[in-house]
Amino acid sequence: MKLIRFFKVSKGLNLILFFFILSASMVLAQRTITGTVSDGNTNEPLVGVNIQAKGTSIGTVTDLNGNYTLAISEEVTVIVYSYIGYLNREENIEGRTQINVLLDENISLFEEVVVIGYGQQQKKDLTTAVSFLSANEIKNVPVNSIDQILTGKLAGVLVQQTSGSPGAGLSVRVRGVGSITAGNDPLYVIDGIPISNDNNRGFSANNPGSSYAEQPVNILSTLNPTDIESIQVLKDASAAAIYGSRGSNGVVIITTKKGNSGKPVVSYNTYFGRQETLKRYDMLNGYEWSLINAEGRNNAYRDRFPAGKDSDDNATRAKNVPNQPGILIPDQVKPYLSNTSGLTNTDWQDEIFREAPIQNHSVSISGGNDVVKYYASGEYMNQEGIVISSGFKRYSGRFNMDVNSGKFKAGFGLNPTLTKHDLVNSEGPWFDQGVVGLALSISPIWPVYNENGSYNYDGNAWGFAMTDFLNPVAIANEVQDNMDHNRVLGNMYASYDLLKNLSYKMSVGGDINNFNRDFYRPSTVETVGRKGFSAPIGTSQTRFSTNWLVENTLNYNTVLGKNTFSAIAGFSSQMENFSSSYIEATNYPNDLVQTINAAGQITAARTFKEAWSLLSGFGRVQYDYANKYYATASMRADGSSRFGKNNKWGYFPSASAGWRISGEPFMADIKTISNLKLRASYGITGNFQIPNYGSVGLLSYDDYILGGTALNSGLAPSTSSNPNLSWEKTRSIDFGVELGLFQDALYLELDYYKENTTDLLLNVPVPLTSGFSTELRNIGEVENKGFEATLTVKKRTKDFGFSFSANFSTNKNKVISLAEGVPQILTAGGTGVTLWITKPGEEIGSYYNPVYDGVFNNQAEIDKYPRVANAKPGDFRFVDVNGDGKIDFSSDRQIQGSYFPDFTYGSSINLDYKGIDFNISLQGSEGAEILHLMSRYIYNIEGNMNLVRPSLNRWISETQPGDGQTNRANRLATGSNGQTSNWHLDDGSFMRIRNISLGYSLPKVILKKVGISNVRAYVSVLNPFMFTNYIGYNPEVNSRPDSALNPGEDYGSYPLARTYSVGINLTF
Amino acid sequence: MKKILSSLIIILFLSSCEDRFLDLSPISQANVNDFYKNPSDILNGVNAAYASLQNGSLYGGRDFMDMTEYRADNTFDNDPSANSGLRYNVDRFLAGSDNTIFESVWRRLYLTIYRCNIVLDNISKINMNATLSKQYQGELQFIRALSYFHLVQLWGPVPLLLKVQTTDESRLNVRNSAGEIYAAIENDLKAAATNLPKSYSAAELGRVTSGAAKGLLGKVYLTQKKYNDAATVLKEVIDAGDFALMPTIADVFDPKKEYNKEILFAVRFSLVNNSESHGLYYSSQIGDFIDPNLRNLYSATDTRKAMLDLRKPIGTQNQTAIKFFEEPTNNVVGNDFPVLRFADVLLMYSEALNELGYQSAGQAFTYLNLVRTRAGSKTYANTDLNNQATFRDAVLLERRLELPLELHRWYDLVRTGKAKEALKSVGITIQDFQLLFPIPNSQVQIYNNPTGFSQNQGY
Repeated sequence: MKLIRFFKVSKGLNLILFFFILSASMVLAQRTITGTVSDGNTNEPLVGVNIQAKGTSIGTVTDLNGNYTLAISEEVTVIVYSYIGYLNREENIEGRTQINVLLDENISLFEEVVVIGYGQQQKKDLTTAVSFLSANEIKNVPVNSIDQILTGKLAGVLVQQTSGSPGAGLSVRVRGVGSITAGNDPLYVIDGIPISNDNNRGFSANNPGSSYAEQPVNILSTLNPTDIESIQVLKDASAAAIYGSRGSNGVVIITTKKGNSGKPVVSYNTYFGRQETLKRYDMLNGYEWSLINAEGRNNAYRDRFPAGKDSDDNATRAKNVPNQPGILIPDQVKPYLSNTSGLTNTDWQDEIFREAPIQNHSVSISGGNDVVKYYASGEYMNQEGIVISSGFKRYSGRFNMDVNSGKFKAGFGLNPTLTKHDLVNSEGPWFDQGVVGLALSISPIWPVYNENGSYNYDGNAWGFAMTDFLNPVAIANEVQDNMDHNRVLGNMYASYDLLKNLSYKMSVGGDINNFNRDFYRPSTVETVGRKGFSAPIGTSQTRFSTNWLVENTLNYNTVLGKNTFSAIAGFSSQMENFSSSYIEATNYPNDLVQTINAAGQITAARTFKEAWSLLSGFGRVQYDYANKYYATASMRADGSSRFGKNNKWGYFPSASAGWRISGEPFMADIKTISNLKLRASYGITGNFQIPNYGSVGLLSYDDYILGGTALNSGLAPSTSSNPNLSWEKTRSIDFGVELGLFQDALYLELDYYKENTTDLLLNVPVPLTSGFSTELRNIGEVENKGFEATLTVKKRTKDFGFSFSANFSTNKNKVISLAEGVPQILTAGGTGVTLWITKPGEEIGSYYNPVYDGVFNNQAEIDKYPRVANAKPGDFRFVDVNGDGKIDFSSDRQIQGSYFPDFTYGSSINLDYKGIDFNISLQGSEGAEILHLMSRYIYNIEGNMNLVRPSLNRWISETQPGDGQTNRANRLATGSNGQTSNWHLDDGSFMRIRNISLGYSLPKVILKKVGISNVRAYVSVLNPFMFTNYIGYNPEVNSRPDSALNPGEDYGSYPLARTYSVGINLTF
Repeated sequence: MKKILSSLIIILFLSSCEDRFLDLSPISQANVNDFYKNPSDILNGVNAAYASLQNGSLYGGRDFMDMTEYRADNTFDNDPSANSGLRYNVDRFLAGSDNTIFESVWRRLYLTIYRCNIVLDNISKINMNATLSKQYQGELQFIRALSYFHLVQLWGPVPLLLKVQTTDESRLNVRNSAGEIYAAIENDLKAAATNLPKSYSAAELGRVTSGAAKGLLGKVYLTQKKYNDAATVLKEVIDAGDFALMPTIADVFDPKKEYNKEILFAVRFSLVNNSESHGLYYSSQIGDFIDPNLRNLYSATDTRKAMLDLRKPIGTQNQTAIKFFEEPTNNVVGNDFPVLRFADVLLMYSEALNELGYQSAGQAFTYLNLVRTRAGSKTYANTDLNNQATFRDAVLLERRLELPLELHRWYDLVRTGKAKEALKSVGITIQDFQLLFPIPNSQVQIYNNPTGFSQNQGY
């Protein structure tokens, strides 16, 4: 039936098309204009300037000598000249046949062209909140992915590097966190293709055999930063609404470089660098640690046998307190107590960190003529990690081609990459064999290697009630974990001008990802708590995903007097398919062959497939009157497989308006103000980042053993069904002011916004008697409101250039409501006693823990206050929050801030004088709290693991109370000091000098003789300084960047690097 | 004109493809809508109910032991610092309703019940072999009864659900009286005893038998002090001859002799398949976790004493009792956890008989002494236990000697009213309200119904 209808309609469609083509080819009388375009300052000819007959799609570009020829019809009266980095210029033809033009360099942001969803606009015409970053600001920074460059650059875009691991993802949050359980990542659109966020989950997401999530793979890590032309972030709902159900977390639009006509331009960029840890912990050495170890045991001993003496030997102690190894002094610690010199004193941080090289080579060639333009590049990047055995390599290529043959335009971009991740478990807690956590925890009295060269494992299964630690160096070096990521990202388009102001465009995009990961844990790495060789485990995982997109759009532009209209309408369909496999095996005869084929027994094998689809129709109308009054309206309809049967479709409208006051006659006399614009927008966007089959009740396997060892399959419901499951909807409103002074030499942009997300997808707790603990529902509301400011100052004379930019953002997050019957959501973190609360009136995922208030100095103080049952002098005093006279950790809790900063800022200064250029940029964040959960271990003063230096301030006795804030040493701790409280919270505020670089370009006069157009050499330091009071490596750390309910936990993480580099840019 | 064109294209494309393009069912995961339609679905559902018992919150892990064994006087948690005393606090009666162990056990017991209910709701809609259908129902009734038996002993009155509820319905649940719950348990076990076969083929070994159902029913009667009923049904189990004492106590727990003649019901595990294994039970490196008094209670010749000796797997500092020892591979083991065994049945029968009336030459002595004889301990003469009270103490003592670490001690102490006394002897003073555990705080909050769903008194 439907097929028949298609033919019927398409017949009519052909007729219409035919009519259009016919009418368009009724050619009007032609004339030819020629001329030269040159730089207004230097008078040098400009190559590849875009020249267009205004109001039409007819155009050309200048050749190598800056000359052009343009054939146009009689009715064209104005020609527009545009060139990247220069101001646009319009010339009235007025009967001339030769028009020579001088273009002025653009120092004003206002004139820059900004890529928006399904189109582009000049900054001055924007009525929505869009931030952007151009190629100029992307160069010189030795990082492996472009999002690291975004850090601190854009107001309202919070980019947090939660892990220093090469190739790990960054957390990008546009205007706060709107969703509680669905994703908060923005939508990335690369050359017009919206790419899937699902890829950043890599696969299985866990270290084999571990329950702790790894940092996600960075989906942008396959892009070569030097290929990037510009990055735009659509921040408000009106800008993002054209992306409908995927727009509510903002949209990051990435555009890659295209060729310019003229002779081929070859550039070669390279840099070499050395990375080192930016910050380390100050840990105790073996002697200091041994003292506390023994003190903790003496205290535990006397708690049980008050008459005991520190000098009692182990035999006496064991007699007085039988069967309690926690009161004995470990034999291996004794020599340290007597201060024997020359004993093993390992600095484990030194052992697992290193100075690591980073290098990058990138070659590109671009060029073309009026009809065909191309840009091709190849890149090799090799970054060794600052944690031993970790690293990241990328081989990438890009080929962009565009054909412009009058009415017909077409092009494609192809970007194949191979990235190789050499992984080390660095994020996991120490008990999960995370090497960073282990290096901090393991006692300094153990050597890395035994005398025979084998790894030392004395910290494992030690006895004496000591916690077991494996040798982190052995884990990093011996456990093999490699992931290859193969990606082909491609797009293709063709467009045809149906009429002089109506064009049709079809785009096709594809994103193919293939991950391969092999893991092997050899017999030489011991099992936790167990001496001797272990049984090796190997796993092999693959994940394959294909994502395709087909998009059809019609574009209409017209100018009627002072009225400019443009409209776009289109539909698109997109689908993604995943398949993954996982094999785990054991019983390897030896460590020689580590692939699964050598294993004696497969212990787990599974494959998995998933898919999602999205079908959309969208449209937008833009209007401006005399470049003064602007209005835009857009609408998108999205249908998705992810949502419940009853709610497949969602509708996302938006509207915005702007008034360029500086264009009014009454402003003409105020010369200081070169630009003044007010704008306002409103729109609704959605959030698509929910599980693929969240609306369907799923069954999970839970098998049982019967007979001998036979596995009998069992299946039971694991999630409940909800056919009403729908989008999260964000209504957002934005007001902006843009002000340019002194010909835009000073430019200020201010934005205020308020976003309300409703129908939150929330796993609502349900009574456990229902057989489930939670159920996915649409409920509640979250509000984000904030203020953004960006200031830019630019000054340029013939030899001297100066620019300064600064940005400042605040965002206040607040939960407005949750579901009926759900007054609050309590979420546990890395330990069950650590809680976050999400409740109306508060920020999502606020810390919610007992309140600590110093230590008890003596028994009298203990008797005076409510306390936990076994509190002793030197233990923590907790506050009786609810005043019921007893300490109960279920009710005596308080909200203690959150991971969200109060405000963030960034700034950069660029200077150039003749050939010398200098750049410095900084970023900062104020008011975030970090839950340093590692304090529960390396600051617990139990002596069962190594301790941070402030542990020396512990309470020793009533007369030696230390700093009055640190509990006493005790191996068998009393007083619940380990209960997570505000004692474990740390201020995550920081200010970081992000980058300093100094470059020198050789004079062009000299270069011309050798046929080189540009040579620049530079030195730079990434992250030279960081100012923070945070105890750990990284004040932006977040163990679970994908979870909004319990953010900001530090359970051991990959430190950030400081990178010194030298580089050369060569252009032929 | 252009608008018309664009709308045409949109309408055309969307309407023609929408249905098949946007309706994607899960590819690799079965979904509920298509399930419970044929006998093999039912079998899978039954297996999942068994598998629920393997969970780390029940017989596969430590939480359940914290509540039913560590809580009593046989064992101690010696590590107040681990996890801020999460387990230590349960052992020492310091834990409040927020202690996550309580919620973990509560959740898993109700999840097990849900898995039984959903299959029982659907099984009658399926045309299948009637005997098999009865057997499946019996297995599920047993597992459901076992779960409720734990719930009612741990928490007293709790919601009683014999059918699947929607999540909205479940918000209205109230705490049913202990009497109602016991009645439901008895119904289930009586039905199970009729529905279930006496035995299975070797490949099915591990499924619930009618004998197991009767044995558990006996325990349920005994707990309610229905001594007559208990004695009757336990006698049936003994006389049926399906079960017997193994020659030695070590044989009962030998990982090579799993599901032996003495086992009425055990939760099964296997080391061969990683997902079916568990960690070493009672593993500890902080001191001896067994009460030294218990060790001293054994006579010199008693073979059960050695079952409590501690042993470390090769290369480790962690130790556990020989009773539950199996040499691990990669830190996991696969030995079964016995839920009900014949020695327990004999001791229960003996207890029931004594409660019905002390007889100086009665069968109560016979069965008590059977257990002692197997252990190599001196049998009791009627002069040793010359009245009901001394006999009662002797049975309780014998249960302590025979069944330590098997998750019976706390229940035995509460049933016999000896909990306060026993804990006093190890230095812990408790009050009456502490014979029940606190309802998990999260659940009290979620129902938010102080009359229908209140916290247990005292917490």
